[in-house]
Amino acid sequence: MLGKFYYISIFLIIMNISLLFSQNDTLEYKAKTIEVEASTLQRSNIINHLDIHCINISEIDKLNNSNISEIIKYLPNTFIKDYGGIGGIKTISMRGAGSYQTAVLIDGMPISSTQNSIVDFSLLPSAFFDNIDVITNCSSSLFGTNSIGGVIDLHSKIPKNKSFNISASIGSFGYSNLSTSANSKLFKFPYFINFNYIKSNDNYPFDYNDFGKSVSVKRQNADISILSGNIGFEIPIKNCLFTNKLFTTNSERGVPGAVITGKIENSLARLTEFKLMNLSNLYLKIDSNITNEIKLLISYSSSDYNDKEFLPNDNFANSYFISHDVRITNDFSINYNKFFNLFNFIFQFSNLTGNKLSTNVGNYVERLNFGIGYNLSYDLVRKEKYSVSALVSAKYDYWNDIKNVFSYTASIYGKNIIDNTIIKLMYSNNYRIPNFNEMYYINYGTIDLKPEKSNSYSLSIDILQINAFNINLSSYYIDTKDQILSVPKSTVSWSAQNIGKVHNYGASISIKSKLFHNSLFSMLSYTYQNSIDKTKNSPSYNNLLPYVPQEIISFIINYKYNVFSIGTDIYFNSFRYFLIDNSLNSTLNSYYNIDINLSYIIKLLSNKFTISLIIKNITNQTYEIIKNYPMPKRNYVISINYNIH
Amino acid sequence: MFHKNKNKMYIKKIIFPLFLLLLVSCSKTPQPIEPNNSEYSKPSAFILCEGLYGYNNATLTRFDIQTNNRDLDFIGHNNPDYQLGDIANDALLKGDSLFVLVSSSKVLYLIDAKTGKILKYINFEGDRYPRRLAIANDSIIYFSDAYDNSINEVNINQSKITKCIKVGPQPEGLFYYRNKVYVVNSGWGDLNKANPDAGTLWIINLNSNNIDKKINIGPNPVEIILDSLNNRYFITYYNFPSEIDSLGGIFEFDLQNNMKLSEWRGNFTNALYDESHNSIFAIVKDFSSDSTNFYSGIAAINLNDNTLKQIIKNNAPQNTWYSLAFDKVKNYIWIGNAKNFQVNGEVLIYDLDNLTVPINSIETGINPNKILFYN
Repeated sequence: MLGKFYYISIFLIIMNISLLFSQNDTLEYKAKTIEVEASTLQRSNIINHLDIHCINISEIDKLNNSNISEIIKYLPNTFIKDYGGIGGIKTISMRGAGSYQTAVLIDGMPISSTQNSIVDFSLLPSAFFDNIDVITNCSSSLFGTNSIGGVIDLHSKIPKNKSFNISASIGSFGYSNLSTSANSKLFKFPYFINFNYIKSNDNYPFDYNDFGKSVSVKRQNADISILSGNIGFEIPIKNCLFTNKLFTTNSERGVPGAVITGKIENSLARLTEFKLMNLSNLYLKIDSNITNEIKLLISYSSSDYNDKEFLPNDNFANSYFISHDVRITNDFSINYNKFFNLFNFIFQFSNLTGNKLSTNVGNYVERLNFGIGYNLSYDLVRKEKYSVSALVSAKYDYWNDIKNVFSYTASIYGKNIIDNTIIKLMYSNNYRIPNFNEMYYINYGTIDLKPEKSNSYSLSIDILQINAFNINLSSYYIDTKDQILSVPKSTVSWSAQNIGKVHNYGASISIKSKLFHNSLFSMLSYTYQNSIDKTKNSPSYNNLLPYVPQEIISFIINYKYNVFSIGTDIYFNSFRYFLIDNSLNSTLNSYYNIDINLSYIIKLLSNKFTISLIIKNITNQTYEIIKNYPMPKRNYVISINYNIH
Repeated sequence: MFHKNKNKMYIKKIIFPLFLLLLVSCSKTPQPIEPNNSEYSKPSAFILCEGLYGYNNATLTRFDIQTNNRDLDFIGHNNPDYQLGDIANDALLKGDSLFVLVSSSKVLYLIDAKTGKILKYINFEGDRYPRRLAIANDSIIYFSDAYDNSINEVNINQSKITKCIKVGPQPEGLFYYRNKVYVVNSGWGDLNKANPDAGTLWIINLNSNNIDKKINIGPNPVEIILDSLNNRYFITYYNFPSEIDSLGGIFEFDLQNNMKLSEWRGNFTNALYDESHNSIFAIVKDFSSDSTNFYSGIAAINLNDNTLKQIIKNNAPQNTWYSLAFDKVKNYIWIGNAKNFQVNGEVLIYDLDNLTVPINSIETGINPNKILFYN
């Protein structure tokens, strides 16, 4: 398997380089081109109503290819659930909501799995994306299902300039990474090819309580290899722009399981996954005020989990799933005077085949969704010193296996132009459709689940929106009913149930600055949050939900001086409960992490050669994010990057 | 110029104070309060709390019957740095020796019941899931293993397995009687119900290490209890989880000829025999006397007249009653309440002479699944 990866790596590097240098400019397609850098939503003034934390990946990513979760965790209102190491599953939750209540998009198109509502960020390299929008005041009428806690929108852009980039990293615990990307033009049409290969043994040491004695042992069966690729091109024709992007990931990893007394890991459980996703976009500018944008997502994914250590039944030890998703969205916008009208239409079809579905449904389930929405943004006041606008948005969705869902949003946006201060106040009624696992997984799913519904209130203030400083203050309150919770049926088996009522509330502040001609970049974020069980008659009524830290603090500072760059990242997480009983025995200690990075750039003509060193967890902290899944202690990564323009 | 001055003002008046605020505003991790547990006295009760799978949070609660004091982590407090492990499934007392079997951790502990000190532990190698215990004498213990599909003899003095006999799929309840082990193979309900040896009772002769007898019991037999005085034993079988409306039941067998004597239908668990009342007490789920009203609670089978009736009703169906014991000294019924499996449980104590309300409630660790009296 790995040998195959190496051959593919070499092939892709050679292909990237050859494409870069074998440019044929003689066959040019003479066309009037249009520039489109953003989706319809982003280009509209609806975007003003959203509380967006936009992060440029190159500002934070010191390796040129960190995991996306390593970047997002520094933003306010986010929390990463990480099972440890490179191969541990990583999911993102926002504003104290579950990771399945966070919508994840690529270029505005939802990509969360219909099978489990989540995206495993351990399989998404940052090299494929330029920037990330973290949208904290969520709205299902704008973003659809899952957006109760918030939305993460990953943006992949197609650079217009010819360039070639190759980077390689090696690090502790057998970590290695090779990444190449090439951007160029074919017949004047820009295209890019990215390729990324990651391998790690993840056999990091951790402290283990061996019947009262503390011993150091190494994580076993935690190895991972990920091969991923990304190809895209765009074709501008008159007043149209067609873009196509293909993403693929193939991974194989061990699943070591929880570290418990008498049993350090599951030494045989393996997980193999393959994903293929194609995203097409046709943007049509009908005139200066009317546009139409059609997006099509086709995705295929398969997973095969095998645990040979589960001896009682061979068939039960193996599970495989294959899923297909087709999503089509159409956004038609009319900008008329002070009104901006956006009509949405969505169609999606998903199916899942697997051997772990409930006996009631056999081995196949499918789902169909039609949705229609309307969004109106209106400039109430537009003065020299200030402006005020309002947004109303509503969406109706039909889901064939659930029921019809109606969601709506109302928002006010005010801007003081003199002080550069912005206030946003939003109310939204949001929902999440139960995923296939929650409804149909054998011995877990409950077929008659209802959608989760929430009322969300959000207030945010942006002050000092100037280059040097940007301060964002935000607060929220989310009231969710029919929350789907995993409820134990016994001590070893769980079931999805619609019994939860949860209140989330909190506040955050983030300060971002760029000083001394952008040579000093810093970002400080503080989040305070509470997620409380409000289920009537629940033994855990008024208790905090598991894995929701009440406080998160992060600080990034990076200083560039000529060819040198030095920086540090500090991350703090307050204590959390891993069970809803909120007892002392269910407490995970607070922890902090300090990473340090150093870079040196060698300029060769117009090309750049960069050497980087990162020391992660420099204070050698012992900590867990998920109970009984130890995290790596101090570790190192050295990276070299060569960029040709 | 205007902007520069304004920036400085913001830096001084807003950003630095905020920065300082952030540095001092962290939530403090709760710290445990050490219990005052220097002296232990009888009578007391040990409540084994199973914990949740993968959380490594099994504990042993000790309750002092005279003083009403309780220690939620008796082992942890008397053995610093020890964690009992993951999924504690069985325990038994022999004199001052307390044996605790922890399934996912694959370990058998021997604990001094007087002090709570761990005297020794035996960590079983390989792919094992020790499930239930039975004792032959002070030094020989037997356990069923649901992964290895075997009955294992452990010599406590030698701290090792001295005998391993293969049995049917997923052996669970067992007892020792006159150099024989009686074990029921459940097949773990639906999981292995297709196995021809699932749903059987095997009688193992420990002299020859051979199987004396295999008896087909029916679906999912999980528990077996001995009444040697009356030459009989009882087998509790559960319904298949996939057949929600189906019923389990209890069989009575003759110890001499292994013939089935009686049967009572119902979704019983944790059946126990009390010779003073010549009755079986069991937790019952969806109990029905007339097939129209269904309640959860405690059922009693009077073996004198073979009548079955519900004696205690669980008025809070969201609570899962998970273990049962009978205090012969005081004529009390103790019920372990696992609640929703995610929070600390409790033991409810009922006086058999007045079963309307519990006379006491004791907080326990998570998922109390075995109650032992140390008199």
